[in-house]
Amino acid sequence: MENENVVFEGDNNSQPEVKTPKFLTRKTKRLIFYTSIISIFIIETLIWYVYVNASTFVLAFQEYEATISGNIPHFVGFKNFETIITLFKDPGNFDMIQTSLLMYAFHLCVGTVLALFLSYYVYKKMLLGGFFRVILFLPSIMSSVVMVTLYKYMVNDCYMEAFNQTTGLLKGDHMTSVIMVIVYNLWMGYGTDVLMYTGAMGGINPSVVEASELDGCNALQEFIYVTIPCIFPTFITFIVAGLSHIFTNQMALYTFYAGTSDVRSVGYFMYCQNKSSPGLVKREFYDFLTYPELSALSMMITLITCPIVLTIRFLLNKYGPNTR
Amino acid sequence: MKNYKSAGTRLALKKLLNPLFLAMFIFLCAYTVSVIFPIAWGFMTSFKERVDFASRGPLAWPDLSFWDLNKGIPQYENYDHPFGNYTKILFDAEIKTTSAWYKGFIHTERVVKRVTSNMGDYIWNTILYAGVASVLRATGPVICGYLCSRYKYKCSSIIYTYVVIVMITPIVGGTTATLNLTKQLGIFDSWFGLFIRSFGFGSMYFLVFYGFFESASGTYAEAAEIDGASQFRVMVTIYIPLAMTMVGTIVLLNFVAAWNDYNTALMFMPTHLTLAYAIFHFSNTGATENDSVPYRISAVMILAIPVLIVFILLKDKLMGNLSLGGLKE
Repeated sequence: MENENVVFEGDNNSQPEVKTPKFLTRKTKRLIFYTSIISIFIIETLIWYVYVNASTFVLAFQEYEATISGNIPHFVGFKNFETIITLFKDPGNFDMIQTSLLMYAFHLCVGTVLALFLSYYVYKKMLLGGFFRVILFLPSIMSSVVMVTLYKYMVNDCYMEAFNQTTGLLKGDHMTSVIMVIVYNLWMGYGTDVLMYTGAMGGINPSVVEASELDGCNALQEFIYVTIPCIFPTFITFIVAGLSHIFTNQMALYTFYAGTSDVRSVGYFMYCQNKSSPGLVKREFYDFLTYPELSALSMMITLITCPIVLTIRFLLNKYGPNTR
Repeated sequence: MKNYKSAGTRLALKKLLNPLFLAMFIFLCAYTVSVIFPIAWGFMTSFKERVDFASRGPLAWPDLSFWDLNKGIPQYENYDHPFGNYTKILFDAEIKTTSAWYKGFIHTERVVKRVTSNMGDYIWNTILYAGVASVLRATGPVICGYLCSRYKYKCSSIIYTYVVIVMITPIVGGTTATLNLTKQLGIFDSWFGLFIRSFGFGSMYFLVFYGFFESASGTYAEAAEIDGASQFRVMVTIYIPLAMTMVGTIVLLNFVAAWNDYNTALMFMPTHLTLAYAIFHFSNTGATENDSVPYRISAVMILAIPVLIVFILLKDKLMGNLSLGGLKE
């Protein structure tokens, strides 16, 4: 197939002869075609991934000064990092980290465990399993604006009306509001998890399940000793994905409070700061972080989460249950 | 057939006696109510009149006496038929937005835009954003997946490794630098800027297409090339059509995601906002008309109804693709 000058013998009337310049072999044509298209993707990656991440790194060590001819960058060492550390040392801001960790802990301990059990119910084709699968997925296909608005009226107006209360649950004290946001995220979060887990459970070899049943395993034992080890790679993927976003997931807080919330997570804080940032240069009497300061914050979060995620992934892969 | 069905139901009921499954069943029934009730309540409330809602409470049925179906004398201003809230939002609502930013590599030139948009503008922006971005988000992975799987050059394996590394390495900080870069390039708050960023390939879909094309037979390409087809033609007329079902599902998933998304528009397109933003605005601001709960809920239902219809009609397609993703893991 290396030579492209193909002539069909004895069939010259029905198949026109393919004429191509002699200097272009099939291999060369393939290379030209491949290079011309793949270069678009390489340029796209260089701009929107490599440059963007390199720019974050450089910005984190810079400060911009406004002059008549434009904004001039200066190298400032770790000054931006110090600003961020000072910011998070403030007890009023430190609660953002606590909220992010608390939300992830609930997601992991309650959300993931429940999602596994619910997936098991659907996978075992129990009563109305297919219907429940659709219902579990429904909230995740709806806009967060829709679900948050309806949820807010449910836990405020409808709750007050139904239980004769004077204050809604989201308008109560700080801790109640945090819990109601966590409940919302748990309520919304089953769809994709259940779909993925049921998909993975569907791939379990039926003979393994039959063998466990013959050995006298009950439903719970089968779930723990057969199902979980078989779907462990999918489980690891979800744990790693959740951990990666532990400080960037804003948990729909912006949709809840539109930037005026006492309940804040690190992800929500970063979104609000990015949206309202003055840009490269600090503005007087304007209480939002500049791009260099936000870049320093991003780098710090990466430096914290990256080793944790990779270590946990490694440990789960090495010491987690396996099908053998 | 009926006997089989009733035997199956009997078996399912018998299995349900297991405490684990019984607990799950009760939980799932409660969950179903918790999902369906708010949506049904939203529909019901959207047909209420402001005074009706305020006087009779959020849980009462709409008072039919508020409706003047014969278009006689409206009992309350601007409210003479059950869809009054919907028509008011669709035809009367306006939102003013402002965008002020510096462009250039050292942020020198100031750009200011002030735009007043009505619901028609928001719907058009949403269709444009969701339509184009969803196609671009599927096009990048399908083309790149095809090239990397069918053309075994070193660059292909580098790209594959890059996608896997990006997926497992949590690098934070793209937003700030991307915002800065779009402003430097002068493509902030523009459709071109939004679409150019949508044309990427580094997602889970790349791996799905990579696997698909790698398992596809190479004889099609060889036969087509013998017939004189160019490399481009082989890709466009033979291989991509083979993956059209998957491409369609990914376009659909991305369309729904873009339809629901307001964060991206709010961050990168402050004067070209989408329907989801308009609804977010209505449900969070307290300007006169917006104080009416039925009015806000109607706005929310305008966003929800198309997605609900798509979900009801295409739920197997939407959910099937994600299951495939799970198996791939």
